[in-house]
Order: sequence, then C-alpha cells, then structure tokens
Amino acid sequence: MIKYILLLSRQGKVRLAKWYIPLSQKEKTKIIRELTAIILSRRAKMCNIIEYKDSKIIYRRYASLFFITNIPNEDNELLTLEIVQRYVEQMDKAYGNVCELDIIFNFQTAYHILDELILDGVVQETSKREVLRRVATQNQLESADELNSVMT
Amino acid sequence: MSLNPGEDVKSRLRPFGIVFEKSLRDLIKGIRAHKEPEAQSEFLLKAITECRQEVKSSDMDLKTMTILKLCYLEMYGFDMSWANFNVLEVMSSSKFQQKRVGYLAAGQAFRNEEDVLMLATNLLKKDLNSSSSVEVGVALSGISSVVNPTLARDVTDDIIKMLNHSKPYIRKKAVLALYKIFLQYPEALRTSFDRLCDKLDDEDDSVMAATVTVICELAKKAPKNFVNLAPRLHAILSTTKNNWVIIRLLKLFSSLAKIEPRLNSRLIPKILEIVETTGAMSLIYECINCIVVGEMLDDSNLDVAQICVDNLKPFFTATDPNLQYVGLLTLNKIATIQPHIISEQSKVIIGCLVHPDLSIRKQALDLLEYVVSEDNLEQAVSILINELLPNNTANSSNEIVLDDDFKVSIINRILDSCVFRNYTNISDFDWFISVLSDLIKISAEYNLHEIGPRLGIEFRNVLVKIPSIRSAIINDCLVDLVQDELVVSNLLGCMPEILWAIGEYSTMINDPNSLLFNLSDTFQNGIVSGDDAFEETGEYDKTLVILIPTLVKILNAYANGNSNYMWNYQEKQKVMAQLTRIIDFLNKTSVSKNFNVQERSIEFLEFLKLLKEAMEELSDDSLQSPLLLSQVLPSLFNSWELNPIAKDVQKAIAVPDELDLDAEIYPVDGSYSDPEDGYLKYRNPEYYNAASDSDISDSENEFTAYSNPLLGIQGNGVDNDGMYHDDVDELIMEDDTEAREKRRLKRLERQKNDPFYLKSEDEVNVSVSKDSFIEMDSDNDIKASTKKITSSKTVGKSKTKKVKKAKPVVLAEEVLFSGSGSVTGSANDLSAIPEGSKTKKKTKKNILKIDASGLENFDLNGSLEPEFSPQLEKEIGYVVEDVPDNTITNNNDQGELVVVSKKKKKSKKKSGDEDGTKKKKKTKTDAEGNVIEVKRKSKKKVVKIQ
Repeated sequence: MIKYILLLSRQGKVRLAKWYIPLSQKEKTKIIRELTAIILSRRAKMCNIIEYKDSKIIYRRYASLFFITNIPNEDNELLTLEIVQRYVEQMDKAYGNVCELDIIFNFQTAYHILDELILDGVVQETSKREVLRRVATQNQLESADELNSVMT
Repeated sequence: MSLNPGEDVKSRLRPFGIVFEKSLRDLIKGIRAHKEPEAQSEFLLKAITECRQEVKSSDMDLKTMTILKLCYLEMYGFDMSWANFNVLEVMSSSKFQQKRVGYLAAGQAFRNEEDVLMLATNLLKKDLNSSSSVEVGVALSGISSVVNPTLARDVTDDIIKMLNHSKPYIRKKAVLALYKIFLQYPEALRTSFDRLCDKLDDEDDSVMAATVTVICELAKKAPKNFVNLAPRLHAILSTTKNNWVIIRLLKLFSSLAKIEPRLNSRLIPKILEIVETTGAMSLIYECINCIVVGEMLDDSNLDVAQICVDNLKPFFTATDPNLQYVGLLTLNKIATIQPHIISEQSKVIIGCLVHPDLSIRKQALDLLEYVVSEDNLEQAVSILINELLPNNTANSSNEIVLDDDFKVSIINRILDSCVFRNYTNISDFDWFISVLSDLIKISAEYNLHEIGPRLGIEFRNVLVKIPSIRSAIINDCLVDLVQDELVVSNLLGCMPEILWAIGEYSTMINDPNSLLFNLSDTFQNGIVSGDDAFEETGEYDKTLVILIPTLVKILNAYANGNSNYMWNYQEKQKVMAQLTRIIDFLNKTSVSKNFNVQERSIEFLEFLKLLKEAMEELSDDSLQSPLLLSQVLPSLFNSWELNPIAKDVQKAIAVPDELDLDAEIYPVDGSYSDPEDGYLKYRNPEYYNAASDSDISDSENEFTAYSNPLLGIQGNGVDNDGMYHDDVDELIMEDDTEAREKRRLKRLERQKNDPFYLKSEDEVNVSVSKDSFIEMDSDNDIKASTKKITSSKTVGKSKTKKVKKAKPVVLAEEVLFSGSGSVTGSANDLSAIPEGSKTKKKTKKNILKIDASGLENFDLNGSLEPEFSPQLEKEIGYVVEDVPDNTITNNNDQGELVVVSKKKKKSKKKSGDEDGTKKKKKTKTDAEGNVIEVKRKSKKKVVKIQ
C-alpha cells in the first residue's frame, strides 16, 4: 500500500502529487515541506530509504526529479523502488524521452499513467505493455471526442 | 514531440482559432516566468481569482480547462475543494475528455466530502454501468480514490457485479476497488467474501494478482478469516511465475503463518526453494522477511535461520546502500529471535557503524549489542565515541551532522553493549571507566539531558558490582565529575547516582576534606540561584535528596575514616568547620519546597546539631572524640555492605497472611491494643517514599518507581532512616519501657536465627539493617515472610563470581524467588534461563503486537483512515461482532450494528482466546514461574549468574 507519491523537482517544486490517504491541505503542505528538506539534502551514497515517522519514504532521483513514495514499514522497500522505476519507464515511453518540462506541461498524462499503474496505492497492472495500451485507448477516445466536436 | 493522436488534431485545429489548452499553457508559462517568490505568489493569487470566475462559465470547455488549471495550482498548495461542485459538473460531461479531467480533479480534491459525494452517487452509478469499458474503468478508479462509507454502501452491489464483467480490465479494477469499499463499509465483506475469493481462480493473471493483493491487505487485519484459503494460495504460489504475485503471496502467508503455525512445514521448503532459484533481490528479501515476520523461526529450525542469514549476506555486504539497509533491517529482525547466529557478521556490522547513511548506521547500531564480543568491543566503542567527538565533523566536510537523538542512541547502544550480560565483554574495566567518563563529558558538552540518569546508573552499577576498582573510580573519576561545573549544570541527571556512590564508598575517598568543601559549595550555588529549569524537572531536588545523606557520609568518612589517627585539637577544629558548613547547608535546604529534601535536611540537621553540641562541650585537650561522632555516626552507615540486588526482587517477598493491614492498630487515643502491630504500623509512615502506609506491596511499587531501578531502595538513601524511627520510638514508648524491653528481647531471640539479620551486637535499635527491603517486613512479621523465602537463601551473602581469570570480580545480582507464598525456583534454576531470557521477552512482545492487529477482526476501517471526523467514524464503526471463525457469510444479522469502542476491543484482545501461539507461549512462561515475571520488566537488568 503506497500512501502517496510525489514528484519533486530539485528546486523543491511539486510536479505531481497523488495521495491515497485522505489528508487535509495543511497536512499535505506539511509533509511536502518536511520531505523537501529531508530529501534535497540527501547525498548520492545514501540509501533510497528513509524512516519517516511511522512509515518509510522510498525515493529515487531521475535527472532533475525526485520520485518520492511513502509506504508502511512492513512493505517491501525494494519492490517499491521497482514500482517507481516502472512508472518512470512508462512515462518515458508515453512521452517519448520524458523530461521535467514534459511532465510540467502535460501533467495530466503523468496522472493518467499513474492511475493505470497504481490503483488506490496498490499496483494494479504488472504488465508493462498493458498500462500503456490502456492509456493509449483512453487518449484515442479523447481525440475522438474532439473530432466529434469539430465536426458538429 | 508527438504525444498522441489528440495532440496532432489539436495542433491542426489551432489555426482555426480553436485553442483548447492555451490557457493552461499560459498559466504554467506565467508561473515559470515569475521567478521571484513575491511576484509568483501574486501571479498565483491572480490566477486563482480568474479561475473562480471562469469556473462559473457555462462553456464546458472553459470549465474543464479551469478545473485542470486548478489541479495544477493544487500542487502549489492551493486548496481546490471550493470548486467541488464544478468538478462534479465536469465529471458528468458526456465527453470522455472532459469526464477524465473531472475524475482526475475529483481524485485530487475530494476527501470524504459527504455532500458532494451524495450528489455524485448517481453519476458514479451511471458511469459504472456505462457500456464503454473505458468509462467504467475511470469510474472504478475514481470511486476507489474518493469513496466514503455512504457511497461505499450505495455502490457495493454495482461493483460486485463488475467482478463478473467480461473484460479482465474491469474485473481487475473492480477487485481492487472492492478493497477500498471494505475499508469504508465492512458489511460488504459478508456478502462478497466468497465471490472475491473465487477471483483467485480467475483465468486472467492480472485479476488473480489483484485478488491476491486485496486478500493480502485484508489478512493483515484479520488473518483468521483467510486461513482456509491457504491450500489455494499455496497452489498459486507453486504455479505462478510472476514475481509481483509471489511477493504479495509471501506477504499474505506471513500474516497467516502467525496464527496458523502448522503452515510452516509446507511453506518453509517452498520459500527456501524460491530463494534458491530466483535471481531477484527483492524476492529473496521478501522470502526471508516472510520467514522472519511470519514467526517461522524458533529453536527447532536453526538451520533455516542460518540459511536466511547466509542469503542475507549478499545484501548487507553489497555496495548498494539500499540492499545494505534492507539486509541490516532484516538481520535486526532475526537478531531478536536468534541473537547468536548474528555474531559471525560482526565485522560487516561494525564497519557499517560509520556508513555515510544514517539509516544504515542506525540499523548497525541496533545490531551492535548482538555482535560485540570481548575481542571487538573496544574497537566498536572507540569508533562510536570518535563519531561523537565534535572535531570529527570538522576535518571531513562530507561528514553528516548527528542530531541529539542520534547521539543519545549511540551512547545508549555503547552502554548496552558494554554492560551486556553483566559485563561479559569487558576485559579491562579501567577502559570501561574511561569510556563512561568520556561519555559523561561528551553528553555534558552537547547538553544531552536525557542520557544523564542512565550514565549515572551505569557508574553506580560498576561501583557496586566490582569491588576491586571502587577506590580507583571514586578518586580518579567521580570526585572530579561532581566538581565539574559543566557536568553539574548540563548533566544533572547523572548526579544522584554518582553522589550516592560517592557517599556509599566515602571511606575510600582520598581527600574527603576538600571534596566536602567543594560539594556543599557547588550545590549551594544552585540552590541560591534557584534555576527555574531545574525546579520544573525536579532534577535538582532529586540530586539534593541524595546529596544530603552523602554529605553526612563523607563527614563520617572524614572524621572516622582513618583508624589510626589521633584526636586532637586540630582535628576537632577541622571537623567542627566541616560540621558547621554542613549545618549551614542543611539549614538552607530544610526550607525547601520539596518534601523529600526538607525531610532529609531536617532529620540530619537535628542529629548534626546534637553532634555539634557534643563537640562544643568537649574540652579542647581531650584525646577522645565524642561518642556521637566516633560511634553513633558510623553506625548509621557502615554496618552493612550493600550488594547488588536484581530488580523487582523485593516484589517477590510476599505479604504475610496473618498481617492484617486494614486493622486499626494505633488508635488516636494513644492506647494501642496490639503493641506488636502498633510498632509496625507506626514505622510504616516514616518511609519517605511510601504513598500509602497500609499496603506493603504498594509502597514497594512506590520505591521501585521512584528510586533507581537496580538497587531499589538503597539508592534513595532510605538506609539512613533507622535513626529517625528509633528516636520516635523512644518518644512514644517511654511510658512503656518495660513492655518494650520485653518485646525487644523476644524479637532479638527470633532474629538470632534469621539470616536476614545482623548477628547483632548489643545495640539492635541503632544499627537497624541497611537492607531496607528486609526492614519493610521486619521486626514483627519477618518470621512469616522469611519462612517463605528461606528455602532460597540467596539474599544475605552475595555470590561473587570469577568471570575470567584476568577480570576483576563482578558481583552477580542477588535474586530471590517467591511468588504468592510458594517458592518456585532457586538461583541455580535460574542460571539456565538468563541466556535466552532476553529473547523470550522479545518474542513475547511480538506476539502481543500481532495479536493487536489480528484483533481488528472485521473492523477493517480501524487504523487505516485516521482522518475521519468522529461522526464519520461512528458511522463506519459498525463492527461485526461474533463473526464465526471461518464463515462470515453465515452471520447476516445486519440489524445488529454495534459500535465498539477501541477500548473494548483492547480488553477483548487481552482475553484473546483464539490465538494458539499466544497460549502456548504463555504456558511456557508459567512453567518457569515468577522468574520470567520478574525478569520481563527489566531488560537491562537481566541477571547473569554463571
């Protein structure tokens, strides 16, 4: 059970935030502030697992973005890293060589991919291809809508 | 960059003025253009205001775009719940593109919001039943992220229907969404449990994987409902090749194995087989974790534990810090079950103590206790102390700054490993003493208040347990420490114990004169300044309580310590000077607001005044010191050597049956009916720490809670109170001297054969035993209680033990067994236990913990959603009581909704009848009787008797 996923830029800006537990805006802001402080100060040789309150933070840096997840203590840390890796791979494929700017300007796509990979904190699809196929289907549907609106 | 076909269409439409997403781009570009924080926040506020206008527009495209913009702004911390109803509008759009944005926004913004979800219910139901599988999928995802109890109840049936949808994509989502429904609406579990389990056999792998995931999560809360599924799950484990599913299954099995140990014989071979065959580190890790967390390790399968450790080795010896971390983490879990098999890994673990990552360091630190031995203790400790030293951070810029909590835990771990099993690992006590004093100085330097008491206690323990180095410690170390202003002001917490030790062994002090001089001086300043911080914590008063008797003890040592000195005028003047100083000091403390301090001060003050009078009366050329100084003063302190006593031993002394503590024994009119009891009754209130005078066991609790844990009473200086009692006795019983004398002789007669009493000289009354816990039962009732304990005569002379040839004698703690009147063991019986006792304690703890989670029964909404308002909580607090063990469907008594409070659940847990493992452990404990009972509470004080 992942509790939340955050994408933080190196400057500490939130690029994506998905919360699987109900939190007030105040709590969210607090978590983001604390995690920004902790994670931006981490050094390369340190491990990607941080004990945070009663849970664990698993994070990984890809280029200028930190992918941060929070899991309960009993969850598999290595597997969570795997999930993050999976997410990044799929964004890479969907956007085509993804970079931070892509995610900024098309943040909804990042959310859609995430929604197909993870549902309510658990991995819903372990097949790499299936996730992208689903996102593609939805996108097609969207453009079909658009075409319809142009035609009418 | 061609993102998707939609993007192409849009770009082709742009020349025609259809600029669908321009405004979102503008917003993002605008934010990026305003780099200055002030300008940016201004821009953001303006954007929000615009959004508030735009969202009201009737143009759905614009509305959708605004909602999307709000989603973006939400990441900057702007709350968007005010737009919830607009989000709902967008969600209900017929265009998928808009619907999708609506659902995205709903997932971000809705948080169990009753009103908006009520309105959304119909829409969600409609989407769930849509003909387009994509829409159904979006709706299912949406529901699982926004669902609340009411909504859960309303959509349960629709979602259960989806379990048989023709498309696996929908079935998979429905299964996962059901989990969230169960959390919010546990009642749904009754009706759909079987249908959910059927999905384990779904032809599509992803549906099966989702089902395993859901069952795994459910089983964490109430494993017993899923034990019956074990064979099916095991079959899946054997056939599937999907590592994700295997990991989930292992998680699930670790929950099940905890309550059904019979699974172990089937599981362990299978798990070990997976470990052998797989190459995935995360899977190996999960396998070992499953064995450890599932409590499959015990004394019977050491080989399995060994295999686990062997397979973990690539983890903690790896260069990847993540593997190192999880390796050490798991090693820590194994260590609590099988501590000894860790010791081989000492090199790696000690190496990790200086790892650049603090989490790894912390794990290694936790393991330290298990891996230190006589050979590597000094190395490990010196590494750690080096880390603590401030200059270390200066010379390497890469070094991490340790926070205070971490420093405290380092110090605690150093002490833990040093005192482990009664100093087994220490070969050189001079080294240990220097470590201790280094630690005190470091702690004082960093102002680490909280570690003070622990350091004091360790110092005292060493002094009490190792007679041969007492003199050296006191003169080389302690005497300096108590005069070190930095230590006194920053680490006052260690002072009571150190002062007590100095007082107790005051005869060994080389220069009591100057120490006395400085002590009263140092602490006098403290009283005068009346630091508020100290007053609040009461630390200063605690110190004073010990300091007062200590001063008198040192005075005693000073005046009587040297046996072959000649009493002369100079001596008299010197003693007089000190006496006057102490009296001055006590005069000040006697008006303290603290009861204990006042009491201590006054009782000694009176005695010292008498002493002073006696000295003044003495002619200057007398060659004999006054009797009060040469006889009475030493008799207060020197009559009895204190031995280390295991914690809680006092509790083992039973209250004699014939002792009626409620009977009135000393009526106010002064004529007591039963003189024997009257004596006792009168004594009891004098105990400073005893809250109630009527119950001995109560007052014992008081003692242990208040005083230092190891030595119980002695540490508090209660040993001095004999004098007080006797003064009082003298007063009340004057008129009854004859009867009293008779009683006294009777008592003496009885005590003659009592091992707990001094084979007394003539003055029994003055030299009341120092072992106050005997005192508690003493005099009139000692007979009864001693009868019960005499069979285990461990109290009395301490048993000294040679640990190693080179080592000084380390006194073992005295233990005494007797529970509710019956003797259940003796010291020899115990010797078999201590090695493992620590482990036992931990396993026991684990079991309790599991029990707590298992007890959540069907209250699936328990701890997961802490954010509910109380009202919501009440609504979802429908707890299914009395669910039969394995069949939930049987009980359809939906009318009976019981709101069970947390407390009730807890109490139910305690009676925990269904937990077989717990029961088993419990009987194990019982068989060993009180021994464990005594030991369980005192982790640090686990006794080592070899």
